Amino acid sequence: MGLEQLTVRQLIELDACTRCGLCIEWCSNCPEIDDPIAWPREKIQGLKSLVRKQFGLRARLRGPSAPSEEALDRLSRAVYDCTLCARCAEVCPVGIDMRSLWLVTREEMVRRGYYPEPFNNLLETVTTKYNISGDDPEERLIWSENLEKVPQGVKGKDTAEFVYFVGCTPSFYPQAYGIPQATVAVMEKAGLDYTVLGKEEHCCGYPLIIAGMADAVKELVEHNVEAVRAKGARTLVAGCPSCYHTWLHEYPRIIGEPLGFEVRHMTELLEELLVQGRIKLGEFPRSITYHDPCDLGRNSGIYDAPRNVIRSIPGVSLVEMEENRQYALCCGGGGDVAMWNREVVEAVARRRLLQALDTEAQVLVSACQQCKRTLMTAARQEKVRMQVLDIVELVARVMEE
Amino acid sequence: MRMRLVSSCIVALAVLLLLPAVPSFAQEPEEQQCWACHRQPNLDTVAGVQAANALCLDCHEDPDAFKDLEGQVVRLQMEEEAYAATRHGHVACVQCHDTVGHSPHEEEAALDCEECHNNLSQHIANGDAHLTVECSACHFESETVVRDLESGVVQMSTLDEQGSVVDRTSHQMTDPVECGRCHYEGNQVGAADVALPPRGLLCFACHDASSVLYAGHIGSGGSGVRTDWVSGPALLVFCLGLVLASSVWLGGTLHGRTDLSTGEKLSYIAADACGVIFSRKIFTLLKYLVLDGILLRRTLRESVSRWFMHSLILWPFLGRCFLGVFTWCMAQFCPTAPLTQTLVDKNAAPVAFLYDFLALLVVVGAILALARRAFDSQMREISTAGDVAITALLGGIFVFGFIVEGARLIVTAVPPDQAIYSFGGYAVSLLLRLLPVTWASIYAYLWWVHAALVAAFIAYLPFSKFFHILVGPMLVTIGGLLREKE
Repeated sequence: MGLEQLTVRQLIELDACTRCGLCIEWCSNCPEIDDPIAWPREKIQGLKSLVRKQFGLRARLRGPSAPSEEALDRLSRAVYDCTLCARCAEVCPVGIDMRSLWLVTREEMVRRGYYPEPFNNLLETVTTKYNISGDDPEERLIWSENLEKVPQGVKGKDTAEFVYFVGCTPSFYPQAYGIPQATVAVMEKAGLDYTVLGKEEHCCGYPLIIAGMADAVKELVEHNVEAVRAKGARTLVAGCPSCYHTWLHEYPRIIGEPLGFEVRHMTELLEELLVQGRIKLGEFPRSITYHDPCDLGRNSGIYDAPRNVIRSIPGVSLVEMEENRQYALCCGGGGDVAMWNREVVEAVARRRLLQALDTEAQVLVSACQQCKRTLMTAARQEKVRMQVLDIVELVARVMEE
Repeated sequence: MRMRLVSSCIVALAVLLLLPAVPSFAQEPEEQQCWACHRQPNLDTVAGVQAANALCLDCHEDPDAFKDLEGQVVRLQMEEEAYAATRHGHVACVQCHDTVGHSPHEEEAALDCEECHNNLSQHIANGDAHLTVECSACHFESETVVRDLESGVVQMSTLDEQGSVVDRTSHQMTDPVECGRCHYEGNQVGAADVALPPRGLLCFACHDASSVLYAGHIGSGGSGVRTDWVSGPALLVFCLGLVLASSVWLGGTLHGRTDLSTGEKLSYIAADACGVIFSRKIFTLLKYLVLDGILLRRTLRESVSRWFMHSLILWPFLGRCFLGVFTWCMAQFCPTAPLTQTLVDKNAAPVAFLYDFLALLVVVGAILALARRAFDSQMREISTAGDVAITALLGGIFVFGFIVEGARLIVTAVPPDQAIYSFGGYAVSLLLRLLPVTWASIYAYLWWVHAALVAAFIAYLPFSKFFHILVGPMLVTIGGLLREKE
């Protein structure tokens, strides 16, 4: 692999790893995989070995050598089994940004052809249908069809102050339809001037970026940016933490210039609307626990907004799980792992569900459609009475008329 | 009337003039300096020195000049030309023999060398082993050196091996100094059989290495002891390792750009570094370096036991390094300060205790780390041959460090009530005494093994997992700066 595939800082990080193993203790999926190569520490060594085989002392003296197929295969499995939750990076004593290293490793695996087969389908689907489900792009607003009254914002406006970026999962997966429905209900209630992009909304590119196929997203990104700019929007609101993270951190880098509008997650908007009194919440006498989505919490640093929103509901008592905020266990649904290794996803989700059950909360709230789907499935499989809601669904439910 | 007034004034004036002289009449006669009668020459001039020496040589050029010292004849004849050719030929006799220039013509003691040679730092720098060695023992031509059993001071003997009084009238000095005067097999002054070089640059990591800048001061020319054999090759390999690592690092992208050459990346990095160092951001840098790089805040946040173990290794290590560098600074700038004298003396109670205590903490931390490695399956699985090698090197450095100290305490015959403060080395010395070994003979070998292990450790560092010692604090500081920027 070429050194230019990594940043200077990442190359330093490979040398800074003390191999202390603290990351293993906190890895979300390591306990579910029976191969030490899944340990973050070993993955770093695996990546370092790829670099060293071409640029290490021995390589410089005797010429570069190729890694064995077995080594590549193991490293590939390990890095594609990772949910990219970044808890390893959070606890690393020397602050290695491991999530970005896993992405670089995945990119290298794609280059070498060592990646799970389903990712070929993902690439084709996203680049031809512009969504992850393979549905007809014209069906982007299918979630709105059973709304009592389709608001103008959903029908589409030429210009609007806010653009609500729905995301692929809430658009096409029935389990998550409730999220955009609740979102537009809140926005209507607050009287916001908003619109959605409808069929002009393409996949944000996140699934491909984290699959190691970032080269394929430029067109999607440029299309989306143009679509939002065409609406003259001041703010883009994303309900999906992964879309939000991609818009906020990846898009300016990919297009090489500032977006020209603000990017906010729905939780931030909800908090603001509550503070401004544009929505009012009614009594909800429940015990609620909150699950931090990895892309919203650890990867974007938003911990307080969702908690403030939940606390502002009269009658609610918010109880924290044992592992919360930056130490929150992943739901298991991240990193595209669900596309090829459901066992790992379900096992991690089960552990997170048990942590939620330990709090004796009645409702498990998250702020991510993927977390909601994963934890909801776990609750059904475990046959436990635990309601799983997205935060915007919760707000819409208790919002006063 | 006018005459009476005038005569009264004269009398009063006479009394006023005579009054101060009155006590002198009441005193015993003073020792008369030669210069009371002989014209005092100006000793700051060559002519003055020659004039003063001429007065001495009036008598001392006489071949019959001698004195009787407890039945032995001590020759006192000086030859003008021979003296003028010595290193002190420009100095008047009475400038050193400052108690002879009076009556009675007897010498109490010559001046100490330090009265003129205010370069004590050099002599401190020659190593604390020579703190109890008088200048004359090394620098004067006489080869008979003895150790005062009571004070432990090594000095030039007044008697030669045959018991005759040593003739010192030549005033010749040895140049270069011959270490072999003390350092030979079976010596009686507590010197190792073989002279060792001064400590090198690397020794600063754990010791006072004040001698490092004076590596060329002692030893015969070409004997090899002038070269910092420990640090030179080790640092060369270390630097090659750094260059190799940096060349890999600089292959990466910077500021999201893939089109930069290595030179351009270096200039960007230099500009970024200057932007931090020469601005208020330096405080941010220091904050993260100290809190995360040294105090290991991130480790403490995640695991108290790991933090404790790391702290036990890192802090005492840094403490010893600081102590060494501080001592060097003191020896450079305040060589005669009492604190400097204490700091450079590794037998001084506080210094001996502190160095051993800090080393003990490192050893405890290392044992905890090794125990974790042995009992923690996660750690066991990742130990590579390189890890074992560098850990063994580190262990060897400490083991031999204590052995060398123990042997030193034996060889230099440090009395137990003093040696006890070097409690680690003292305990080892008690064990070493049980072995049938002449420690003065193998002391140098032990020292070289200790030094070679350090050299090997430093040389191997950039290629081993211990590279994180340098890169970890650097990365955690950069990470902190970038987070603040965001």
